[in-house]
Amino acid sequence: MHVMEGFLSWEWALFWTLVSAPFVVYGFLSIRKILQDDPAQRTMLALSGAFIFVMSSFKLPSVTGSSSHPTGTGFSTMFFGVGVTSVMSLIVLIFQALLLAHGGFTTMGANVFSMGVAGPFVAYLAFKAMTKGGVRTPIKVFITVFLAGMVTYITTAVQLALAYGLTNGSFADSLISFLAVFAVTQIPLGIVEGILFTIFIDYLERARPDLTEKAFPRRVKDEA
Amino acid sequence: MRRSHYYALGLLAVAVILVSAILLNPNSDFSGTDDGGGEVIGEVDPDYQPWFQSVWEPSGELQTLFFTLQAAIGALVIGYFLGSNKVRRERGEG
Repeated sequence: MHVMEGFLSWEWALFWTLVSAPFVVYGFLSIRKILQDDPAQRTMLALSGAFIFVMSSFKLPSVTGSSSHPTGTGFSTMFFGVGVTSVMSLIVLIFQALLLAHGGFTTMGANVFSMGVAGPFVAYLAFKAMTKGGVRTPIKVFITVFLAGMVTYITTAVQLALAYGLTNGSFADSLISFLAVFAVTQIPLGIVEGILFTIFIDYLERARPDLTEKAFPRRVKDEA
Repeated sequence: MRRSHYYALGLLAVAVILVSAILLNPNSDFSGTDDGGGEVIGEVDPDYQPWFQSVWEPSGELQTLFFTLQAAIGALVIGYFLGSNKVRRERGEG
């Protein structure tokens, strides 16, 4: 999902930076508030960041014959929403731009938008809708995590098609080409990520219901 | 079926998906999608020249090191959490 360093014109670089900035600022303020008001949530914040670090360090092989990174953002999205997740994504993207030449500083805004804003945003809406609809936890977790990663890669494809296909009139064609690279590769990896988080949340709900309560309220009949 | 059986089944599915990716593409080098995206850019707009280079690009070995470091940082936090949970439970606080 990384748009490589120097691969977006400065106009697009600026545009995506401006779009992402409010989410990141809101996220910083949320994290500060959480740390001040609710120290018990510190553990969950640490876990959220840790999962994004671990998952996005993996380069997993996909059936398409290329490999790609899971994003690991679903966990943070379920417990803290978009703002906090965008900050976590920014941190890991700085690490990767600086030490790994993955992504870059001129494309930071675009990459934060896809990984930290767009993916988590769609996933969060789906999570809330499924909670309202009474969808069972394992299915809910799987879909949320899958969407957080999948929408990130779809967003990257859209960003590149906008940057390269729009000027020469091949937006639709180039979008299909970019989706073929980014989105199709990500499908099996999204399933892998979804399964792993479904198992972890199931464990967590049993081991530490005090920590999962916020995102997964216990049903009354369970407590009786 | 016991809970641990579901977990084992899930992990088995993960293994099958990843291994089948390798088996279905015996001759692939599994290059990253970032580079694949770069290739498509070359097709869509052959004249495009990146206007900024990475401040520093690690060699393949160093890249492995830093990816491992990234994973280790995250795994350390998750491992600490799992361990502290186990202690809580053993002390009857969980």
